[in-house]
Amino acid sequence: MMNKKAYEFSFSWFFAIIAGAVILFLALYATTKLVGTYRLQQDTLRGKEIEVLLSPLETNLEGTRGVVITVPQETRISNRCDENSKFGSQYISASIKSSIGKEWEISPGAESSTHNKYLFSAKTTEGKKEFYALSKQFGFPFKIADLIIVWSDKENYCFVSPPQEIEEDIKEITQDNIIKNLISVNSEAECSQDSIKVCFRETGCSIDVSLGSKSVTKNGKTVYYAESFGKEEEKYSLLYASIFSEQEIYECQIKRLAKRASEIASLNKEKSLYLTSKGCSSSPILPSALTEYIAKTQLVISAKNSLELKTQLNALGSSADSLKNKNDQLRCRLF
Amino acid sequence: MTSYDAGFSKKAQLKIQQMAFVLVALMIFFSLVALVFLSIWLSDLKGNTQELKDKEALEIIRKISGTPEFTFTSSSDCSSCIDLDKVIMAKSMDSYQNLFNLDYLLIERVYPPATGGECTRSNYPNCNQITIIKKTEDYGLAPGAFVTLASWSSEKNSFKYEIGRIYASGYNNEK
Repeated sequence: MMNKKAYEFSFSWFFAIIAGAVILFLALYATTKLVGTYRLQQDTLRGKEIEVLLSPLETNLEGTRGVVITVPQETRISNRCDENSKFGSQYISASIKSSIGKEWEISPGAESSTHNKYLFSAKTTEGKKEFYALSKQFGFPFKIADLIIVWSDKENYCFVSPPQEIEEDIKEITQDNIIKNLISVNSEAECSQDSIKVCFRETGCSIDVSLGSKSVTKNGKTVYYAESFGKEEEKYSLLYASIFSEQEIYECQIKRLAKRASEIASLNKEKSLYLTSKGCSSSPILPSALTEYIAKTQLVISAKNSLELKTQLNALGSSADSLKNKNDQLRCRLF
Repeated sequence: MTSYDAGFSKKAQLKIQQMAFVLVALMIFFSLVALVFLSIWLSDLKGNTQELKDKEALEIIRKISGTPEFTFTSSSDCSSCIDLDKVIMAKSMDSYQNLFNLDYLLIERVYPPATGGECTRSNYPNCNQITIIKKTEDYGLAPGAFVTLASWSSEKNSFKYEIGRIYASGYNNEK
């Protein structure tokens, strides 16, 4: 005879298991989604915080300013430049290293955008605890903007035999020991092995600078810079920018700076016409020089490659020089 | 005709109903907990966003005199002054509406007291305030700061300096 006292797997058990599994699945799914959203939120907030922290870097009287951005966890800052629109756009986003799940999210937090900032760095800069930001005024010939140069505590820059102005500038920047990982030495042997060597007289270093041809070669790619007008410490603003940034970012920011320069020149032209009507004359010399300057900025904006950008930047430099000379002769100076 | 009759069918149905009620109650409970959690989280997020927006507006105010579009460069005696002549020109240029992440930016002449209302190119300098950016009526609280204003005076035939106040409110992405 068969044993009829076998365990009865009733419908209620079956129902409870299915329903329990569904509830557990939903709870796990919701938790995973929430954790993901929380990470995105934290990354986005970090990105925005970094962007806000970069605002005090705008210079007034001083030509150079440096700050340290301290982060509680290992962070990646992503820098994206878009040259479209009136002033172009600067996008900043961040990603925080997580000890749970994937270390880094594939896509960082939401980007925060600005139109009046110019960040020169690699596309992604990873820092353990600190990021260093150096602000350098760029005048061409009037102030165009402040260039913000960013690197992290994971990168050591070693400038080998730089010109005296840069050597003194580095001493001044690093004198209060806030800005680190940036030194100036006389020979390559004095640099630490893991450092990024920036050579001014020799070649074959991580970054080779040629002051004669005003070029910077990095990872086999060459970019060109122009000397900034204004104080001595501001002369090499674009050189610093080209050393610390990737070619794509650098050239995009140059075009954005040309756009800004064009708008400021238009503003100065309007001001010149207004002041002339009020007895403070700068016409007709300055408005015509400004018109020529604006035309040159358009050529920089539309440059197709690095060499064309170099040519147009030099032409704009000459126009800026002539504009400065004309302005200096006026009783009623515009800038 | 065949008839099927299980003696426990009503009891089982009752159990299923009981369980269904418990499950529904559980789901409602968890949904409520999730709703409370989400509302707290979202209000925290909104708070953070507002805080960052205000911080950014304050930083912009603090540094606006260094902005090339506003900084006074015609003379070397006041490099932290705002050039009012440039500001009035910038007001009429559409491009400057989107340069800063601001919904509202106003410069007011405080001392010596001025009258005449909003400045335009036609009534300038006989006016007392310049609204450079006003993207919306609902720009919230606009913090202010005192600044020095510089402008050309045709009567004095030189630059004159006044005390002004600048107000700004951060850009709101939610709109």
